[in-house]
Amino acid sequence: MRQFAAALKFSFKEQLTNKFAFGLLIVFVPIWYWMLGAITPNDKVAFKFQATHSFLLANGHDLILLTAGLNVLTMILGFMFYHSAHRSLSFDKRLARAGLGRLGFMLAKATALLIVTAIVALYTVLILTAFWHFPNNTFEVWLGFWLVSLIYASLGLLLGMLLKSELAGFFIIIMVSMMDTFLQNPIGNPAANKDFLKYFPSYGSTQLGVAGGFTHQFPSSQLLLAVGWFVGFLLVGLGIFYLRTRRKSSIQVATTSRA
Amino acid sequence: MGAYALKAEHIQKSYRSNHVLKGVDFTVTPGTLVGVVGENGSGKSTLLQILAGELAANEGDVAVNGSIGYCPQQPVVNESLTVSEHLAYFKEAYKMTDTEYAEHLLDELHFRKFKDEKAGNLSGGTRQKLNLTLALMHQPSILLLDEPYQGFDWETYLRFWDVVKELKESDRAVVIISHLIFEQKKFDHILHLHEGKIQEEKI
Repeated sequence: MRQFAAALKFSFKEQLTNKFAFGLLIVFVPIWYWMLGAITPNDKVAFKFQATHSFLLANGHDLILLTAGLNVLTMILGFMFYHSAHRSLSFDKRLARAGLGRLGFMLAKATALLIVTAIVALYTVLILTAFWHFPNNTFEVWLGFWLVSLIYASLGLLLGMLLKSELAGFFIIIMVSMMDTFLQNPIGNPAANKDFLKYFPSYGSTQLGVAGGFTHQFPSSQLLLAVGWFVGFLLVGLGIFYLRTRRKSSIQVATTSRA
Repeated sequence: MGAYALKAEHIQKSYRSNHVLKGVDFTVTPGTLVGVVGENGSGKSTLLQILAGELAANEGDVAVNGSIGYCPQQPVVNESLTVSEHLAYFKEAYKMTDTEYAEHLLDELHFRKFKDEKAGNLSGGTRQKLNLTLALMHQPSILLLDEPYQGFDWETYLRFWDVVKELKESDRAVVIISHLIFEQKKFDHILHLHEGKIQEEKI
């Protein structure tokens, strides 16, 4: 328990000392909302809403703000967790070899990820409401934002465990995020109603956000889809962590006590 | 069979067709200081990583009597955490009740004034002191050090040898790997790693 508490505390600290990421959140997020909001009119845009299998006519200005929020979270949280996982892997290995239980260590990393993403998603939704007239259900929008944050933070963690080149991970996150969130957006992609889009990581979160913003529905199957992406990425990432932090040679250790 | 701190038997390691270690055998007894020397690329760090459990050997066995402390050549620290946070974190990892000995090392290696400084802001030499402290703060039975005094100034170099002396006096074994060993008199044994084998044993 004490090991878990220490691992949680320092996993947290590691994220909170990422001044660059927090600087981006404070400065870039409002500017990004403002710029996109300023150039997008309130015209209605058709959006394929899966909960009712129908097209929804949503306010284009608000819809672009919603997708902008989702997009910014994929990038910033993906980078934050990628950067810390990549940078601290050797240190984490050293801690594990010193005797830090790997299961508790993994649980602490997952807990820190859940809490940090929840807070950042809440902040991003609160800033969103300053630019948006009023979403129907702010909690549901936050849930969509939190899930997309969880998915990309877990993807970042996974890539951080896997890749040797730091730059490669950043490029992968940028490309996946760009393809994923851009294609979900009917303003950027008028064909955003294509069936294959439902297999993309941010699909469930986008549907949930749109449901919260413009409807009184709760798309539970889309929620499960988003949870599936998150759990999948997290389990693979932690599985790689487990393998990479194991002792590589079988040393026979005698137990003669020593002062 | 006498008491041993560490015993390596027939250690072999190859990277594809490059046979780095071709059957290394040696024993380290408690309270001794052993140096392992060899040219660049002779497999010294590979050997130490195998002894520390960081790397798997292709063949051979390693037996350790007690706990191991391993100090890698490049400091492995977390840039976001302060020196005292490192000590607190490793205290939990080693399941220790206090950091009394680590505190003693802060004084002995003369870097207490950096206790609240993040590792990312430390100089190379101070990082190396922290790296060393993390390896020996739990007072292991055998300490494996890979080029431990790189970046140390003369004063710290002398203090390092005081720490090694303390360890020896408390019956702990120390293995130091280096491409150059200046003060051979300090060592109980010097093993020469050449062409994948311990070629000679001096002193």
